[in-house]
Amino acid sequence: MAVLGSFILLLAFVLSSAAFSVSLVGARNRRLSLVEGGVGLYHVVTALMLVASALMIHAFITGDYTIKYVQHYSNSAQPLFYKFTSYWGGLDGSIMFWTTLLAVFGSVAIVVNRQRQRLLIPWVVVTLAIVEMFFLFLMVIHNNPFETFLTSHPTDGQGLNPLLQNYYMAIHPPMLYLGFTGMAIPFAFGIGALASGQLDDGWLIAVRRWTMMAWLFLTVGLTLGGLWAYEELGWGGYWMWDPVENAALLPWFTATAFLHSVMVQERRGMLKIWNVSLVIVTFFLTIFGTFMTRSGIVQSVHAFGEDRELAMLFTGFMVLTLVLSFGLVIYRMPLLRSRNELDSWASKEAAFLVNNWVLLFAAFFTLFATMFPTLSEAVRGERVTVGPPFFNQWMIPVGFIMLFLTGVGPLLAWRKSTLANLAEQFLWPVIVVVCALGACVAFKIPLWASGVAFSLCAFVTTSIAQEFIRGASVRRRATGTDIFTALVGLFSRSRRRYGGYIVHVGIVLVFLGFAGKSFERTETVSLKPGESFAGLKPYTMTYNALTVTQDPAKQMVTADLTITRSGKAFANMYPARWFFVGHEQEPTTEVALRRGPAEDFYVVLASYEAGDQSAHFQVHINPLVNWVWFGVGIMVMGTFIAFLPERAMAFATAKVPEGSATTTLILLLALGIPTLARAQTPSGGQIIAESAMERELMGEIMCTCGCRLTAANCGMPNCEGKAAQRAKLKELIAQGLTKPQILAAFVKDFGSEDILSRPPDSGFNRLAWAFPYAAGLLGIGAVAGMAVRWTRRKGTEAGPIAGAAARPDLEDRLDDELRDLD
Amino acid sequence: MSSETSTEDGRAERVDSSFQPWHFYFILAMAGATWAVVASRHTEPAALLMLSAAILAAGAAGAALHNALAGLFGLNTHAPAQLSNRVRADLERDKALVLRSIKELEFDHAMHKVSDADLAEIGGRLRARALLLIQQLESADQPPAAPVRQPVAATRVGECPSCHTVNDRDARFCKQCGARLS
Repeated sequence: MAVLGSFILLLAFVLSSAAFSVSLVGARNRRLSLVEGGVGLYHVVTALMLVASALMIHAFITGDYTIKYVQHYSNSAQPLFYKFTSYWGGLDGSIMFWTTLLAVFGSVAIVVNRQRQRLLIPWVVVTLAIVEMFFLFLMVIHNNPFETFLTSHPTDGQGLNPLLQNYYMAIHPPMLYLGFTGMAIPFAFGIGALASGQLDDGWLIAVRRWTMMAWLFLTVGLTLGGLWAYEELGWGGYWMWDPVENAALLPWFTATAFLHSVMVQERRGMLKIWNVSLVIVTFFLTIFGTFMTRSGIVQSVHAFGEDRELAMLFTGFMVLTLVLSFGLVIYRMPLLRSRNELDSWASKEAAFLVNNWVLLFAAFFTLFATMFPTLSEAVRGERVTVGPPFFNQWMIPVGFIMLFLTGVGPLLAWRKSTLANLAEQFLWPVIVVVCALGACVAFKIPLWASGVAFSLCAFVTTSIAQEFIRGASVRRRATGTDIFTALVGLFSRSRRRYGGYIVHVGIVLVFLGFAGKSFERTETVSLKPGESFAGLKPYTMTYNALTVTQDPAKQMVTADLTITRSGKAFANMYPARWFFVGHEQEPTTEVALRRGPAEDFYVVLASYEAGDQSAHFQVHINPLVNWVWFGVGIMVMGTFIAFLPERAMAFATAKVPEGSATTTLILLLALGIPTLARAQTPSGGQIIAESAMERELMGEIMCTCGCRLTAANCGMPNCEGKAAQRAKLKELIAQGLTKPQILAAFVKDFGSEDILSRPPDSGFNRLAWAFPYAAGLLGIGAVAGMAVRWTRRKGTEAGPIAGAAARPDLEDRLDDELRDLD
Repeated sequence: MSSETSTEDGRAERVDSSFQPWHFYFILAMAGATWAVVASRHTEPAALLMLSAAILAAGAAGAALHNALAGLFGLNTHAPAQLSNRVRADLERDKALVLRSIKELEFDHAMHKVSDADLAEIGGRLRARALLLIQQLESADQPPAAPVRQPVAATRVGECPSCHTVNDRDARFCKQCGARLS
C-alpha cells in the first residue's frame, strides 16, 4: 500500500506538471484540444489525490504501522473516529490533505465555470496546477506521508496527540483548510483574468461566491479553534493571539476587506487594481500561514516543529507567487485603470475605503506582531515574546473602529449623502448610543472597552434594525402587502445585502461576548474533600472526592464537585485530568463547564495530591462568552442567506427562515452537547490569595515550562515553572518593588526579554511599538491621498451613455420584465 | 456559483442512452472494488469502505484520463454542439443580474440613498445594458445571418463579430468565443 501511495503521489506530480504545461500552451496558442486536455489532466490529478487519501485513511484504519506517519499519529487503542482524523493530525498528512482539498475545489470550480469563463479556464488550470505541483513536490521530495520504516517496524503506534483527541479538533483543521484552499480559487481566477486580459467584471462574479464560501469556512474554523482552546486547554479563554491562530486570522481580514471592496467595483467600477491585489494578498497569506505553522519559524502551542528545508522551499514558492502575480498586475495596469472618482467623504465608497484601511491595518499589525519575535532574533539574536497584552492594546481600538463602520456603512448613500439625508438616517442610532452611554455611566460600567463596546453594539443594532424597518416599509408601499411579507420579500429581493446585515448582527453579538471579557472573575482555590469554596458570589463549590478510573486509551483523574447558586442546587461538575497511554507526561485538561446566556461557570482541576486527596482548582466566571459562539452562528446563517441561489427564493420566499432555523438548530445543538456531556451529577477551602498587582504581573510574565503561555494562563497540573514564577513574584512584591522594577528583575534573572509577554518599549523593541503608529498613519495618508486625487478628478470624464432609446418596443419589454420582478 | 443554469442544462443535454466511456470505468471500478472486498484481509467495515472508495476514485481517475486524452487528440466532439444553448443561458443570467441591479438601484433611491441624478445616470447605464442583452437574446433565437443592429453607441461596447457577445470597451479578445476584436 505504502509503495502504491508513494507512486500515486509521484504520478499526481507528473500529471499536474503535464496539466500545467499543456494548459499553458493551449492558453497561449488558443488550441481547444490542448485546453480540453489540460482540464482533463487536472481532473485526473484530483482523482489520484482522492485515491491517495483513501489509501492513507485505509492504512490508519487497518493500523499499517510500517508507514512512519501512521505509526506516529495513531495506535490500536484509538477510537475509529480519531483514527480517521489522524489523517490530518501531523505535518505530512496535513499537507496531503491540503493538496487533496485544493484539487477537489479546483475541479469543482473548473466544471462549474467552464462554459462561462472559457478564456479564463486554461489559465485557472495553469495557476492551480502550479500550486498543486508545489505541494506534491513537497510530498515527493521532503514530506512523503507514505514513507515506511526501512527495516523492522514497531508493532503499535504512538497515538495521536491527546490534545487533538477532541471533537472540535477533529473538525477545526478541515474547516480551516477548506477556508485556506478555497481562497486559492479566487486567486486562480484573478490570475486567469490578468493573464488572459479578460478584466471585466466577469471574473469577479465567478470569484465572489467562492470567496464568500472560503470566508465562511475560515470563520467557522477560527471559531471552532476558539471553542477547542476554551474547552481543552483550560485557561479560561478562547483567543490567545497564538501565531497559528493569527495565521488563519490574516487571510480572514483580507478576505473580509475584499468582500466589501468588491461591492464598490460592482457598483461604481472603482478599485479594480485594489481588488485583484487583495485576492493575491489573501492567497499569499494562506500560503504564508501554512508556512508559518509548518516551518517552525514561530513558536506556538500548536506549530508542527522546526524544519529549515521546508522553510526554504516555502520561501521560494512565496517569492515566486508574489513576483509573478504582482508582475502580472503591473503588466496589465493599463487595462486595470478605472474611472475612480469620489464625490464626497460622506458616502458609502468612502466608508468602504476606511473599512479596507482598518482591515488591512489589522492584518498587517497582526502579521508584524506575530513575526516580531523572529525579526528580533534575526536582528539582535535575542528572542522576545509578543503576547496577548500587546495585541489587545492595539486590536481593541481597531475592533471598535470596525464595529463603528459596521453601523455607519449601511446608513450612508452611494456617491454622496446630503446633510438632510445624514440627519434622517443617523437620528435614531445616535439617540440609542447616547442612551446606552448614559446607562453605562448609571450602572458604573467602566467606559473604556466595555462601555464603548456596549454602546457601539447598540448603535450597530439600531442602524441595522432601521435598515430592515425602512426597507420593509418602502417595499410595503411598493407592493401593498403587509409588513411581514414585505420583510421576507426584502430577503428574497436582495439576499446579499440583507444576508450581509444578518452577518453584521452576528458580529455585534460576537463583540458583546468580547466585551464580557472584562467582567471575568478568576480564583485559584485549594480544597480537601468535604470543603467548600464561596469566594465567587453567588456560587458555592463543594469538593466531594477524587476518583481514578481507567480505559484502554487513558487513565482519568476526576474531581467530583457540587455547585450551588444562591443556595439552590446548580450543577454537579467533574473537572478531570486524562493521562493518555504513551503521552503520560502531557495530561489533558478536561474542563468542567456549565454554560449559560449570562455567564459560564468554568472549573479546571489544576493539580491534586493523591495522598490526602487535596486538589487545586481554577474557577472562572466568564460572562457573555456564549454570545461569541452564538454570534458566529448568526454570521453563518447570514452568509447562507446571501448564498441561496436565485431560484431558492423565486418560488417560495418562506424557505429562508426554514433553512436558517435548521442551521441555528445545529449550532445550538453543538453548543448544547458539551453541557449535556459534562454537567450530569455540594467547611472552608483555602483561596490561593492573589493581590491585584500579582494577578496583573502574572499576565505579564511567561511561564517557564515551555507552554508558551503567560504564567497566569499555564494549564499544566503541578507546573513547576508556574509555581517558581509565582513564588518569585510574591517575594519581589513583598520586597516592595514597583512594577517596572519587578519586570526588570525577571528579565535580569532570566537573561532575556523573552520572559515578558510583551516587549519593553526600549532599544530595538521600540520598533514593535512604533510600527503600528507608522503603519496606521501611512495607511490613513494613502487612503486620504487617493481620495483627494479621486475627488479632484470629478467630472473630467463624460458620464452616462446616451442613445439607449433606440427601440421603444424593447424599452416596453424591459419595463414589463422589471414589473414582473417585484 | 454563477452557473446553476449552465450545469443543469449540461446535465439535460448529456442525457444520452448510449454506452459512454465512463460507464466502462465505473463497471471496472465496481468489479475491482468487489474483488478487493472479497480478497482483503482486513474485514472491518470502515476499512472495506475506504478500500472501495480508493478503487472507485481510481476508476474516476481512469475515466478522467480517458477524457483528457480524448480532449488532447480532439476527439471530444460533443462540446461545441452545446454552445449555443450555453450562450443563451449565460445571456439570460446576465440579464437577470442587470434587472436585479436596476431594481436594487430603484430601491436605494426609495430609501433615500441614491439621488435623483444618480438614479438617472447609473440607471440609464444599466438599462442600456439590459436592452442590449434583450436584443442579443432575441437575435440568439434567430439564425445568425441577420445582422444585429446596435442600439448603443458602438464606442462603448466591443461586440464580437462572430458571436455578438458584448465585451468591455478595452477587451482585445471576445470573452465568449475568444475571437480577436478589432
